[in-house]
Amino acid sequence: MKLSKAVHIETIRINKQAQHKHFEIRLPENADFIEGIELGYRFDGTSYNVELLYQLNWIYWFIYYNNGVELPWLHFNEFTQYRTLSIGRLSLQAMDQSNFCYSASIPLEDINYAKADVSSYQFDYMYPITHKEKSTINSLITDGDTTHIKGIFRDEMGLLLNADIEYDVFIYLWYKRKTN
Amino acid sequence: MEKQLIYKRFDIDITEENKRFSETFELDKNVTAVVGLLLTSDKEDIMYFRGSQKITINSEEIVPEGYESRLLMTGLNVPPNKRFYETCPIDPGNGKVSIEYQDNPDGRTWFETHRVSLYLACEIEVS
Repeated sequence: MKLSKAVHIETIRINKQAQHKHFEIRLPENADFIEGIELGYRFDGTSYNVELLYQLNWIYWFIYYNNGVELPWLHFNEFTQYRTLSIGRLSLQAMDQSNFCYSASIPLEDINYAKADVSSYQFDYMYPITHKEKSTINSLITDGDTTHIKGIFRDEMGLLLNADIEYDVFIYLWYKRKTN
Repeated sequence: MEKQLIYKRFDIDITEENKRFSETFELDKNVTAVVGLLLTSDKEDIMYFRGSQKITINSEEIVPEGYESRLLMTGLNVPPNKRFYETCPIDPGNGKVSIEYQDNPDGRTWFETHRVSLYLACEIEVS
């Protein structure tokens, strides 16, 4: 018997403003213990209200790409830090045991990554796709037997834009599984 | 026998929106283990916001269907020696590497034909 690495993907669909979604994650029988977690999201580009999308794009653009540009009505500059927008909040808890408890806020890309970097001044833009740091698994230490997890996700992006936004939230649970 | 690290690149062209593209590649015979992987593209923003994929090596699932591409990408501010996503040494077996890439409309990006590149860090034995 040996242990090999595997990942379970749980997709949660959000389509209403301020929606709270309860869900359960059941890992396969041969799962031994959870060793890490990753989170992600994707907006729905097919059934999405395009006007809302422009609104989101505008907020996104406004905060990201004004690095180093002083706007007369808002004092944006390269040293000011801004709060990263949040998609929503996630909480996970083991159903049967008290050995797994996790809570996180899923952010839109970090909006402060290019702050105070002179190379990003005005014309040399930085983007999350070029300067985001490598995503790594958030390591968790559990003592085994947790294969049934209960979770809740609360929408915050819909609250921010005051609209029903459709998107998927992805939870990647890395675990060790027993194989022959 | 001494171990040496080599890097392999496999390309897949994504030509249509909201579709799945599969490709199987073959590793060199002298590869003894795959120790890292990395994804990149010639249009990184499209892959970052829209891409997901499944990767298997020797029929062993390394990342499952629906695993977002952004989790296997790195930015320029990551040191070159740390850019690869480290895997436990994977036995290449028959040497077959397959990737199933899925383009998912996201709304924040508009589709363009692009290239997705899978880089593998492989160990070979040299005498």
